[in-house]
Amino acid sequence: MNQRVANFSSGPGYLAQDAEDRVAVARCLAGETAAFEAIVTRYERVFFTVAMRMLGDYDAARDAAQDAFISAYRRLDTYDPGRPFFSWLYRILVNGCLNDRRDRRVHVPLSPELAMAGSPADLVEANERRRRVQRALLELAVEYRQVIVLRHFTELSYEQIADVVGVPAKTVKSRLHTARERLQVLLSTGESR
Amino acid sequence: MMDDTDRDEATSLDKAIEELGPVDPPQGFSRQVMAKISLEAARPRPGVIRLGRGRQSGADHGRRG
Repeated sequence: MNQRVANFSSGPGYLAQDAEDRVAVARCLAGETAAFEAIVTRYERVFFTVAMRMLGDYDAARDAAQDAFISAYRRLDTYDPGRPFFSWLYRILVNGCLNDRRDRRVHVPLSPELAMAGSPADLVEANERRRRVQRALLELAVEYRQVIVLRHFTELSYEQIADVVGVPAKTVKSRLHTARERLQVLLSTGESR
Repeated sequence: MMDDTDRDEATSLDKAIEELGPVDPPQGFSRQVMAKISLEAARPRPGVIRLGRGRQSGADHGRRG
């Protein structure tokens, strides 16, 4: 992989997935509940990652991701097939995370993933670095945090992020620009502690 | 303003964010979600009246006075 921003989805991309998603949705709406499993399996990792970076708490991320899938299932009949399914699904997740943030105090966890090569000292240092970045993310206002998270942890384009967030693409770019500046300040001044 | 072309030039900030990495859901996550969804699917929808048993919807009850 070249030095582009990270994404953690697999497969040929959202557009290809969208056709499969729509088939699963149609089957669900026809009464085949088990068809929804394909959607859960396809999105669970990226959903969990987005929720974790939005909320900074493993249990809260699990609840948010789970609630998003269940909420999507409940509302499948309101999905507009004229629009991408993944945008609709992400919107439910992000809105859920925003609601969750309004209801609870920020908890800053240690990063649960420890899959790093190197010495124990390197591992400790890398973990500390990640903890600082996660803390800084949590200190960003939600409108900035959500665009950073969606940009770095999904394969969504600016236009797709705009669809999820409900603002024009140019606003997404502007928010990303500001978010990166603020994140840089938080990290360089140690305000994120 | 950051453009798509800027994405090819990963900055130290990009790298720091990327270092956070993905987070795997807990084991059995999808199974748990599907179990809840199956329960959801088995539950009667609001406003749907099951004939011959249970309570009727509020709207229906109101119409009957």
